[in-house]
Amino acid sequence: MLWLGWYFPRLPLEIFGAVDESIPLAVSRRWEGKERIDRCNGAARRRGIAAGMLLSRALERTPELVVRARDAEREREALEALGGWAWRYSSRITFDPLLVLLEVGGSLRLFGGVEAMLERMEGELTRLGHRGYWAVAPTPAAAALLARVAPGRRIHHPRALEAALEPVPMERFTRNAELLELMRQTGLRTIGDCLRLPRPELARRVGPRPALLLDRLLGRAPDPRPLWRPSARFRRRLQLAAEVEHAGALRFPARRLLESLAAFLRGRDGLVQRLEWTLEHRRHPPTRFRVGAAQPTRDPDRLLQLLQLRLERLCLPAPVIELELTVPRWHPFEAGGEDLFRAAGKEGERLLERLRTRLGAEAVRGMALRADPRPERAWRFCAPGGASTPSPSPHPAQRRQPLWLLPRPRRLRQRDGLPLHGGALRLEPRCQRIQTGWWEGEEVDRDYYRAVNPAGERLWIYRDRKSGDWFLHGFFD
Amino acid sequence: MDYAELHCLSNFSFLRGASHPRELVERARELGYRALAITDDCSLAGVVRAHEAATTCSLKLIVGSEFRLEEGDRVVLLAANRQDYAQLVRLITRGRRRAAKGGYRLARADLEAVSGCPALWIPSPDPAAEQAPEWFAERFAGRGWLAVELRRDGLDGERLQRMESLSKRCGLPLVAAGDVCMHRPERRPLKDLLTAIRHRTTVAQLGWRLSMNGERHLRPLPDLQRLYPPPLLAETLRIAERCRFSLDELRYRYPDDVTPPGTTPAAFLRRLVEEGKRRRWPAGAPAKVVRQIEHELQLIAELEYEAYFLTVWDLVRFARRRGILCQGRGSAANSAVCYCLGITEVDPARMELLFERFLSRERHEPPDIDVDFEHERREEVIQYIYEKYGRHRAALAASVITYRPRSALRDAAKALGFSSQEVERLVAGAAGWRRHGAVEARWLAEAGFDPRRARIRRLLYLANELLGFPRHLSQHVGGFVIARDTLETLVPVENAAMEGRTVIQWDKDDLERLGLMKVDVLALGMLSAIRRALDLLGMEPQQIPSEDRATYAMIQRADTLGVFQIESRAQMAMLPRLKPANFYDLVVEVAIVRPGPIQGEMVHPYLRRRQGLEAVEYPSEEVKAVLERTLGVPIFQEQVIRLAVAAAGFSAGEADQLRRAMAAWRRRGGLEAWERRLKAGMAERGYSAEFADRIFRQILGFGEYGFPESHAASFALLVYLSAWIKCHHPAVFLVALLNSQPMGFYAPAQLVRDAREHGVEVRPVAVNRSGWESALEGDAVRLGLHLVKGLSRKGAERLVAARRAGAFRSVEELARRASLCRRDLQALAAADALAEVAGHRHAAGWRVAGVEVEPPLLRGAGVAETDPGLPPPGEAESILHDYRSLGLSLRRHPLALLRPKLAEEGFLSSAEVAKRPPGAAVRVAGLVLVRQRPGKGNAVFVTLEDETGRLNLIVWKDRAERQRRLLLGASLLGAWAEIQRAEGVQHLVVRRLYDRSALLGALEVRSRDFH
Repeated sequence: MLWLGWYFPRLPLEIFGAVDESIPLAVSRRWEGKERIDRCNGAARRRGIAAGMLLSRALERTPELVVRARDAEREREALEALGGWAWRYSSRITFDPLLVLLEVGGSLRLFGGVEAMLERMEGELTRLGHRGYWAVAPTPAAAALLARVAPGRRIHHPRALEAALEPVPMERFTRNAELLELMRQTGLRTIGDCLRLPRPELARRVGPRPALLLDRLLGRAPDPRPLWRPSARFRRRLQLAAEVEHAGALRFPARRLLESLAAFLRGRDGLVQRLEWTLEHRRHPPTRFRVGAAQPTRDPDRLLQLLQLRLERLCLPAPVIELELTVPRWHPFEAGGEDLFRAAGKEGERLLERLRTRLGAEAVRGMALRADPRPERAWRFCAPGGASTPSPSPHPAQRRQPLWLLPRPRRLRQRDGLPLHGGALRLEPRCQRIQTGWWEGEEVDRDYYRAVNPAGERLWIYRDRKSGDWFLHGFFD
Repeated sequence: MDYAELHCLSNFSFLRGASHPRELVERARELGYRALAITDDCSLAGVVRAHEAATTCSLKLIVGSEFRLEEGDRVVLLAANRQDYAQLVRLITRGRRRAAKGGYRLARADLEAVSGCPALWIPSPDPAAEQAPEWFAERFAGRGWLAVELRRDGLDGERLQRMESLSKRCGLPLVAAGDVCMHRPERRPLKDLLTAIRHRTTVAQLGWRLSMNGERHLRPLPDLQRLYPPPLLAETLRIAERCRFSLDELRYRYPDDVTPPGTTPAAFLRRLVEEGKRRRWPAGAPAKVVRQIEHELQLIAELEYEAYFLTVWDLVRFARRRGILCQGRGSAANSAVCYCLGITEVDPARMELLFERFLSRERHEPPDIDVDFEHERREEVIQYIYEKYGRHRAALAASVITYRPRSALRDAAKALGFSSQEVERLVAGAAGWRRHGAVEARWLAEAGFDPRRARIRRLLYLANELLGFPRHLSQHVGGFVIARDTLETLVPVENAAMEGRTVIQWDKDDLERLGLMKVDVLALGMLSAIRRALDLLGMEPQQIPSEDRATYAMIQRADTLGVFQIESRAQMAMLPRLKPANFYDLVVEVAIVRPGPIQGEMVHPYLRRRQGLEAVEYPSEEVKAVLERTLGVPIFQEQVIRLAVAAAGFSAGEADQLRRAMAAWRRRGGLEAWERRLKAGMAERGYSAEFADRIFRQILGFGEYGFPESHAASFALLVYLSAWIKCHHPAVFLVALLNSQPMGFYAPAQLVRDAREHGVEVRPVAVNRSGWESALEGDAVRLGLHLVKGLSRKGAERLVAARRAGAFRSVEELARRASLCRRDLQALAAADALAEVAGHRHAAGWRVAGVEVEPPLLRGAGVAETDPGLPPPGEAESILHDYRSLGLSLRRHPLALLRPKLAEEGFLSSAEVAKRPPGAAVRVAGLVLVRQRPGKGNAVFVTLEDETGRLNLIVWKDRAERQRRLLLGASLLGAWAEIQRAEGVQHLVVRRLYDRSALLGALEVRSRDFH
């Protein structure tokens, strides 16, 4: 057996699309009770940021540093995606943290030997935007350890393993606190030191597990690991290091997702026809759309072209902070294409689909309530057929407001300081005062009145308290 | 038309009210309200401040409180008279004591206990909600009203109609109220922000929890007139008329427990003072002292403060009986009376005392005595107070925790929707010396935010508005209030965070304003150390010889590490120049190295005059009388006061008001009036404008930081005692300090090093020798188990007890006999305390790991083990382990090991530096002991330590800013610096800093020769 370990130490950064090396980027996590820098890119290192630094200290030092919290969920997704990529090289795949381990003894010949295979893999990884470090060893644990501490090391024979691993500091191999504490107390450091300790005495002190792990490392004990099976569904997210304001600028990150999809499909020998894109915005519901190809494909350039057509028509409601690509279904290579318009699902959905096709997707909208006293902001458009967040219940005062609002309040002429609309208006005595919105820089300060004009029209008007002007905002009935 | 607001929350309804009590009172007055009720949420925490403001601007203040009941009703209760007030206090206490800190729980049933108190029933703001005030109508018939709170939310019409029908239904009259929480509508953004902070969300996400408008402010009368039917407004006046209670009515009486039956407090106090006088001056007191005592007793009698002095005397007597060292200080402490009572030890015959400073006829504030106790035994005194007076009579004062720049920025930014990363970044900008004052746009700019952007401007504005807002009540460090009968009818009590502790809802300023007696029961580490040393020496404080020359010689050399107060770097730098030669010099020394005199530029004139470099002159005889003992330079706070009296014609009481204004001006300003009076008074008496100006500047400098002479004298006494012990019994001194940690400026490592430099033999922690505390072994010091990090006290005590049956011979035996857990054993091994029983550290570590902590099933069937033959640690490794596990090492200084490497790089040792001439530029390196940024922050002072001594660095501001991170982060700091030396004091002025911490890391590389 021969294991190839691929170690991706930059994965926690790469999931945030840290392609642009000019932006100093770091991920942070909490340990020892404080938020600290976990790792950072070269741009950040050049500004003096280092792993282990307190986040507050790092920000003090480099205010322009972009920091994200480490995201185990996304890292797992990304690692699985890499598993998908590796699938074509071996069907025996297992994971360690930030590591993909492949048993390659069986497939070496197929790819023309270790050198050829590694060269090919390296090329692919570069395209995928990942930086990986490899090592080859007879056990998965050794391949994993060497990929981390001595990348590029190739050990084919189990007998050579011990000599190679002896000088490795024990804390690189295990986080077993009890064992590391014992080593510290006794002045020992390396795997070699530990191997030389008398076994029964060691077991009495720290239990049998460390010895077992060492035996597995050296191939003296079997190391049964669950093998990974690729999932049928592709879903990857890419958080953008900087907010993107123009749809055109999404091309580059999208390309990375498509490359990754292509690798996924190649691993399974599959094709896709329909892609689901989601653009996440800060403080704004996400923009979702689908892009379909007339024929199933896995060509990233073709898929990118299709996306671009869509992006050109797209008007971003807010800067994009994250991009997600989902492929709910993929097809085996030989299978025929799927009918683009054969929408599955319920009646309503079909109607929607038809309306959209007829009127254009943007023309079909739903509505929902918002908890905002400003009448023009008391509702919002949402995806038809249900808002993503439940509507708040209305305020009791809203029952007294008209349903029919003007798209834009209309300024009223005045006579003797009183408003006119089809003649002098009679105002109800009590007003409703609405003062809010200061935190958005769109402060309103209005007194709303119900009013009746000589024709008996019932109006909803307000006086802007800052300017003193009167406006018509809506009609009752 | 007239109006009284009866429902108004201040910011003492934490995160609900958006205005200070004072702002509300002043605004109500400005609007012409007839009265204002402050009705905080189950709290009276803001009423004293409101009362003070109301008295100043003559507005009628009504004391009340709002309650949100379990059933969902809201009720406002007002205090019409003293009895009502007592019921209010009881109700608040009951609700607060039931709930965890910060909360309360009250239900309708709890209001049964309230027989008085005009009450307002507050309807739900939603008029459509189910309203059932029948229970209220029943309970508060004749003194209950339904509050109509119109808020222009579009529902006022319905609301008024429904309230009218409710009124008919249950027969209670309607009254207008505002549910006010801001003094002006402009506070609306802050109010919204507070709401968001309270709900732990952002303003944008509050939705309907946000008020639709800013109507909950104090509205102008014409506005109210437009809104409410006139009878509802008139009704407010009828209620206000009924509320005649004022906080001025609170009659607080000092406890008289101490006075024996059949005598009066005055007579008893006189008797004690006479007894004390005979004890202090067996040969008869000097005439001056006798006059002073008479003067003080007369003043005390006039103001009826006898009981206060007796209460403090009683606490001190208790402490004495228990053998707890204590010493009084603070405003009234250093009177001749206190000396006679044994509250202080400073002989008034040797001091100028200004008793008016503490007690004055013009003031209504109570006297103030703080008593320091041994820090480890203060709890006994606190328990004594609780026992003697009961919890209903004695309670801790509150301390109001308010928003500071950091917390204000954090909470405001979160509520405005800044991401958590942005918040971290903002807060990082408010670190260090920026914990006080206002939030500045510059900080935000430095943190990478553009202060011109609206979002950042809003943040800046709101963070500064939030500044100074109370957040919660905490317990004061030791301020006890004690009442003669009960506190239960005086001030509400609530739970503190600490188990079993309660605090009253007023802080010490509130107490002072109302004339309540407060005794500060404080903890002082040095008293514990002195007590320990005296016990070891078998002495009492009085037996320590006074004015010992060897002690002063030591002090003059600045050989004062560990000595109370004068061990700080600034003090040490002053000692060789000031050369204290008697007790009074120590008093001056303590007082002069303070921000007040330093900022008032009094230090150098004093030094020059003392060294005879400058003539001592006085503009007049009166001034001479005040300043003569300090060579014409005001050094003590009371000298400034007396100058105001002597040179500007102030009365004693006025002078005291000046002192208070001085203490407050930094926060509030407002010294202009005093400046005019002072300068006019001095001009009138023929002093030059220049002299007047200087005095005024000195007053400013004293501000918060000046020491009164009496206070300095109390401290100087501890300085002398600790210095004498250090001088004559350095081993005892070390033991006493080690066992009283944490205290003082220096860590055990420096104390041990210093003692060894003075010839004390210090022996390592050893499992067969050490007790829990460090101890004397003959003339040597044996370090105690308390220094071992990670060793439990219980485990150590079991170890010491088990050792009485004989020394331990092996780790297994130790573990068994003392039943130590693995963690304790590991701690001992790491501290190298097992050398006698298990060999070197590594071997001990191995043995300890092999101990079976559970009793072995087959006891005696020992396990035969193969010895792994671990090599012993090298010297460097041992030193590092010593530091890690004990915080100190008895081996060589780490820098001694690094010296060859450092010498290669051109770094000199401190001993070598001493041989270089002043002005020379040298490279030095050492472990960083202390970093300080005193006063205005023009420089950072760093003390380095190497194997030959300590070095004092001065890093000027621009250099410090440029190398800030290195300066703050390095543990082994190198510097290129210029030597400055004058009068035996050496400083190194830094030109450049280097981080050499990596060298320490290099020490850590362990021996690899293990086979």
